Amino acid sequence: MKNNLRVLRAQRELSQATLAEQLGVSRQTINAIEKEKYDPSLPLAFKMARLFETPIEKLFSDEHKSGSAE
Amino acid sequence: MEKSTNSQSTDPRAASKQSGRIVLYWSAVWAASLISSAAILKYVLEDPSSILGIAIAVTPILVSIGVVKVYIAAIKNMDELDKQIEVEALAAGFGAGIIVGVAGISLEGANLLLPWPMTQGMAMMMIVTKIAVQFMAIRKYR
Repeated sequence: MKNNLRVLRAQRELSQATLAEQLGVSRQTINAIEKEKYDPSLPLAFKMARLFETPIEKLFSDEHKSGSAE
Repeated sequence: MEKSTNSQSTDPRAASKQSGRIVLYWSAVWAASLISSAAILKYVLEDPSSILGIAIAVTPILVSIGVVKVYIAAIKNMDELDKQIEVEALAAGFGAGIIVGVAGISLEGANLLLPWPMTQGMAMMMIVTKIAVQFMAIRKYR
């Protein structure tokens, strides 16, 4: 699944570690989501959408990245 | 056990680490109970089939049930990527163990394999595969 997490995070000048802290997950989880190697759970996706004050469908799209691990 | 770990911290990652530590403690108790139980039955008790002997033999089994319970609670408390990696590794380990078990029965039946300690073989295959797949999954996701 494609996402704009890296862009949104950069816009807010947040590090992966800070974002991870705010979302209650590991930095590795944030990194894997940004690299589109891992799709987050629905609760985490909603948490991200709330944090970035953006609709969930603007954060994630169901278009598959070619050659992704998932 | 799960309730106690959740109540100790509201930070999911801290709860995950705490659960991992509890699994380690329980595993250490399990190993100690296995070793001491085997030693008592072999060297101390004159009649291992007595009520006391049976109680000593059953103790590690009860402890192992506790280990499984805290392990399940730990998985529930894990960071979600860690949980994904753990579940993938457990599935692969379980599958590999079953394959070895079934293959062992077939090959033994066809006289292609000498009788072998199947339970130990399955357990070893499960553990080795679980560790290997866990390592590969960590590389895949990170």
